[in-house]
Amino acid sequence: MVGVLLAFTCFGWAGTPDLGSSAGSSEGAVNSDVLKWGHMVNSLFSWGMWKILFGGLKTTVIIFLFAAVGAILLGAVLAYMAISHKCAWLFKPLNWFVTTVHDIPSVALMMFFYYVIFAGGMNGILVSIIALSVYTSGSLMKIFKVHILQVGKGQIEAGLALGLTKGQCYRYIVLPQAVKSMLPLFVAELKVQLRATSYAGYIAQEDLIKSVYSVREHYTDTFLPLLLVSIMYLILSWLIAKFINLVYAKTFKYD
Amino acid sequence: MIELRHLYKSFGSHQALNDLSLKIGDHETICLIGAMGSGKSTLLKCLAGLEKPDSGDIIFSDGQKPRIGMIFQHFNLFPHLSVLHNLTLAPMTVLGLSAKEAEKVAMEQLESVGLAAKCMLFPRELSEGQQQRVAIARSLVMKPQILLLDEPLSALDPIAVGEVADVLRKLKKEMTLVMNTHKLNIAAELADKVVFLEKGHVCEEGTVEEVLVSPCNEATKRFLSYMKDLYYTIDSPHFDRPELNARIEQYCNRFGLGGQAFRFVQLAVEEALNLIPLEKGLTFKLSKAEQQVRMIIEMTVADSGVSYLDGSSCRDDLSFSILQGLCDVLEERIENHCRILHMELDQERLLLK
Repeated sequence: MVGVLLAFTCFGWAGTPDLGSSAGSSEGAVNSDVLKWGHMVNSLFSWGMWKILFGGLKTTVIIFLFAAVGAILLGAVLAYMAISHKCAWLFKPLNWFVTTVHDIPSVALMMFFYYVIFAGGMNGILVSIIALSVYTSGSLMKIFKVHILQVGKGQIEAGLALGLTKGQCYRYIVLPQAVKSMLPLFVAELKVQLRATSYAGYIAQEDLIKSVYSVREHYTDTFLPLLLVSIMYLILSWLIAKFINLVYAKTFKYD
Repeated sequence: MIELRHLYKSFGSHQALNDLSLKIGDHETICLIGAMGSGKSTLLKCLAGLEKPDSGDIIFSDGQKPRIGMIFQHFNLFPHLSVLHNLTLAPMTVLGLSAKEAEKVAMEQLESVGLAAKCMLFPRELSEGQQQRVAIARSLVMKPQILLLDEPLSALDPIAVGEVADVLRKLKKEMTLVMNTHKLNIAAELADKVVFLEKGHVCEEGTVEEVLVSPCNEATKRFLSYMKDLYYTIDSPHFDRPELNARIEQYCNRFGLGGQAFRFVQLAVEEALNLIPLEKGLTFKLSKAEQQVRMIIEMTVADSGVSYLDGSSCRDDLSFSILQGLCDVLEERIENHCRILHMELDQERLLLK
């Protein structure tokens, strides 16, 4: 992916249309003058541009981290209710709600939460976190549930017959196997959530994507910040996969 | 000693245990026999504490629950752990032994079941018999006083049955065994006491002689005959013919009647089925005469007043002639409104090379 972007940089960057510019207008002609290597290199060393980008990165990371923790906790609680058949009265409506909202585009959900439910009265970052937590929890619940149930009941019985408690059976027998098999799907779901943070811009949050617009307004064309932001997303995705695999290896891996 | 008093346990509408009472003596080997769903597994699970009886008492003679281990039909080994880790998990988490101590105990037990050399392998790399022996060793590391075995031999091929039976013979001398099995020959060999269960209730209990050889209870007799003979229900003309043929072959092989013998039995069955309309269903029974090389086939159908063996009104003349040639007894009789087609194939036919 990085290779494709770099190739694009070398051969096709000059032809990139500027976001928001009207084709054939005099403004477009001015922009094409500005698209010069020298100008781009200058922009690269401009602290102001990086400040804007890092500001966006900080917002994206905060939204992602808290929303991920929220989604994992909510997903785990729902999966526990689904497997143990406890609190069925609460599980049914919650399950219906998270499953239904998952069929709505996450950007619509985020706007719905911001403009309708909280009516603009709540901090946009908090609303993004809540909306994304709810949005991802439904699919995480299904991932958790399916992979936990996949480990046969017989193994839990064998563990109990050996004198282990139910908690120990889950800790040492069920979860190591369930987590190992759910890992690729789980990481993929978190990456989806990372990409969905880019919709925070729709509710007036200065996230990574929104910072591209800010940089363009003040410093350079669209291409350079877009390239940098894409690379940042790639690095974040890579870090997520690395971190989750590390946690798995430290917690559950025996062999 | 353990005493079970008036145990009841139900799963929805199914009454798994129904006023079950039983005494289990120290160092006794008890075999539970009975049809599927007669409550054998539920009884073992209640003893192991995996299920809680709805009512009734389980009383331990010295007031303290003995250490109980359990072996399952499908082994239930932990597939993500090596053989050695399967054995060390419980001693380390339950007994709090160090890894080194747990490994020492585990290796001793693996040695006793003959699998010390396989300790670093994973369960999937072992044969079924070896997996069951690992499961037994895994239970033994917790030093149980009572070992419960839920169909320990059912998922095994004949060689693996031999391997596991060998381990059980050794264990019989060391601890109380309560085993639930369909292998009556193993039950006859190992059991001090045989218990026959039906519908969650103890129907008959006693020594091997009393229960397996000369049972008093009608239900026990029925069950033993069912275990001895081959029964098959045909409910439509589209029944599973290959399955029936495979069962006939397997049944004949039990008596060393391989080669042509089972093909003659299969042929006789096939021709007889051509004579009978299958829409209303029939029950098929294959048995071997005592101390003779003679196979007896009986097909029971609801009587509609039509004879299947009357040459003039026969559905299929060719099948009828083939049957006449194959069987040395070919007759029909009526019992309880059912018409029974009775065929016997004698030794001349079965041992023909």
